Amino acid sequence: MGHAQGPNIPHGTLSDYIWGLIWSVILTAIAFGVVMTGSFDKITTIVILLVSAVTQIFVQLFYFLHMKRTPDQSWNIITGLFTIVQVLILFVGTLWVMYHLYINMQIGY
Amino acid sequence: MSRRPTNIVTEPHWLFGKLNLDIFPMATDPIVLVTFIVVAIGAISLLGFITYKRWWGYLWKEWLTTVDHKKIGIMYIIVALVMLLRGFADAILMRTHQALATSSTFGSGYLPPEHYDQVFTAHAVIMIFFVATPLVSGLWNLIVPLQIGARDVAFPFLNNIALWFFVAGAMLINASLFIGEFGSVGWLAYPPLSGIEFSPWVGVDYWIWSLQISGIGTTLTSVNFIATILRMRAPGMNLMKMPIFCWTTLSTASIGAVIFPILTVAIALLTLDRYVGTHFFTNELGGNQMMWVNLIWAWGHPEVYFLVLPAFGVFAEIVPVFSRKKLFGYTGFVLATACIALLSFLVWLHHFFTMGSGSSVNAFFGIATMTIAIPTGVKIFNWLFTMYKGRVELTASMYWTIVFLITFTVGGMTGVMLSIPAADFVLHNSLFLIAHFHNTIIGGAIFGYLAGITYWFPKATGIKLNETMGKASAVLWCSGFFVAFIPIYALGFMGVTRRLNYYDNPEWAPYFITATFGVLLIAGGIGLNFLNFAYSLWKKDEPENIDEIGDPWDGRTLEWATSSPPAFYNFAKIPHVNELDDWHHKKQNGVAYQPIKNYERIHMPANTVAGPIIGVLSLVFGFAFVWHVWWLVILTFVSMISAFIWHNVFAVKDYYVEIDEIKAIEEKWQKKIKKALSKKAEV
Repeated sequence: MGHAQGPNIPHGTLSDYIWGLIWSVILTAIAFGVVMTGSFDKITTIVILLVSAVTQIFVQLFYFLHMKRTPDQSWNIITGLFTIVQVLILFVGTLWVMYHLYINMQIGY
Repeated sequence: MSRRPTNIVTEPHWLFGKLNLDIFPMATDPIVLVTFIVVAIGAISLLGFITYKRWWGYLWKEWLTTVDHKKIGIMYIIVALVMLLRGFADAILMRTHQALATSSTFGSGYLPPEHYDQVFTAHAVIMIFFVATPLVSGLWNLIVPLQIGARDVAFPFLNNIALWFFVAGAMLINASLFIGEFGSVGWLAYPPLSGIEFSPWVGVDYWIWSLQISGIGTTLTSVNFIATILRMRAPGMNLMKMPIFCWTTLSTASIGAVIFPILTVAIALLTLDRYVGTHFFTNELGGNQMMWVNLIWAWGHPEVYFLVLPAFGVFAEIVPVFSRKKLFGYTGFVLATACIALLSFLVWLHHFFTMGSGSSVNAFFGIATMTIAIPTGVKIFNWLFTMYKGRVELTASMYWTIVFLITFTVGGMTGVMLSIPAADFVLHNSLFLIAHFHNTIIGGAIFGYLAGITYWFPKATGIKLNETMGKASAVLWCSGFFVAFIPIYALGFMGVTRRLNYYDNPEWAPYFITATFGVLLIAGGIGLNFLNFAYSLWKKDEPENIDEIGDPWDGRTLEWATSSPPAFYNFAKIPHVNELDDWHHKKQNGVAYQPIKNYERIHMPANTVAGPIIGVLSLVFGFAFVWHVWWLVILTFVSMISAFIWHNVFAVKDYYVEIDEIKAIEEKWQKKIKKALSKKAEV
């Protein structure tokens, strides 16, 4: 029972890390690319940014945090749900709050 | 006597950045000069003493590079208590200044506005980030691994690095006192005031980097303790058999891991605004300052629960032990803790009801805020009913608990008042608010940490604190709190706003003067705390002060099953846990202190050189960023990354403790136990 490096905790292989690096570089390049070249309209750009950001999260979880090979998935599911709830609270809450501010205060940009 | 230099550098020099010879406030401000002289003498004599005693090697080997959670916890607590003195000095400055700052007494006080603004900003930042937060990390480190029967935390190296990030942040904020200036923007640095247009000099940059560096440390600590509690509990200890302090730690660490990244990102965006010229939080190009307020409070409100939940956990450990009864409603307490943790994310807008977001938004956040009073009330009854019909022993820890119950309940009720949006429109930014949050943070969090330090001091050092001094300190703190803050509540109702440097209504002066006397009482309480540490360590050989076998209070949880201070590996044999309060039941059933028959080698994490080095580099990195010394920023950043990679690739990370060593340590302790138990039997 020393520290957490027990035999049942998965570790990444070198190829995992290299593939993870390649994927995250590609996704980052896409995000920068669509903004810097400006070749898409605004909505499409935002959608591409969001999709590459969310994909990036899963790439990191999969290749760098080794979520795939943990024998017991229950804690991953619980912490995953907790994270989703928190992100939703922050996202939806912020949009709600700022939208009301925008309407009530007649902020013109 | 202005502290703000007249010639603000806007074009950094390639080698020195914005540093030059006109940036030292000691040159113009006698208060800072005296402080500087005192600090310099203190620092030189301390360093000289360590050199004279030849302690550097010992310090480096046993403390600075250690990954032992107990030592890291002690270092967190020591630095936090030193920072408490600085934050409290700021409080004395403010209180005495405000007592004098009306024409009816002595004119306009003695602090010029720029200095006064820096003092209240520094006071709040230090008290929250460099006193309360590290006391939480310190108590976790000291106790949680012992309570769950683990030998260290899940990520020992990260633990060491987190400590040094915190110390680097604390050093940076101290440097701002003598080199340049600190922010004069309030503790949460609202833009546009904190933007480059209205704060062109380095004060806000100090704010940014000291919080950014120490905040990353807190994120790491939170992640570390979630992993430790979920992965490293002793066999048999399922979550509902876990000591209650571990439950509050798990809930708090879950809060920390969610909110500190928000702080990091918000500060990073403000950094871009200030350094690169973006407009996230200034009203140009679609920027919006209320977005900063929104983000910073999405961190800031859960943060206060981050501070107070561990204190609740401390009280829930102390009350059962000194009432000689199990905690009333363990499950209810756990659920209430989890409930508060979740609700804490749903209330942040109550800090800016007056922003103008309309009634539906305000109603939602107002009701959510009131709802938190329910689980908190549940806990108050948990403590009260635990004491009810118990054999209550009024030790110093219990004194802290009782003053907490009285004080915190008042603070909680004024919080419910503030949660009503219509009332908040009157009370917003008034001194009523100031009194409220001091009521909860001093009365809730700080009393809890001091209770915890009193209760676990023997576990950390092997020596009990003096009970009389502890009790006197609790009484002084509590009475001082009420003398200091009841007038502040009253002033709030009279319409006095916070952060006033001057007021010309002489009727307010008596209230401010009374509050100053309260601060003196609290100073007595703090003085007694420090005196108590010194006195108890000085009298460490007196038989009644020594904690011989490691269980001075007849405790209920696993940390008391070890020697005091525990061996560096905590448990020679990891205990098997059968029920809640397992140690208590083991003693009841006569199976405590059983000698170990066959020892096994113990796998332990090795000390790290990279941790303190990265910490020092992060301090230089922050300092260079503040002063725009770009070559040094790049150099220290690359060095930090290199040290991290070096640690991961080359450093020795673990080793085995051999059986002979374990046997020697354990048999020594077993002898002490036998002696103490036979003495007990004679009595």
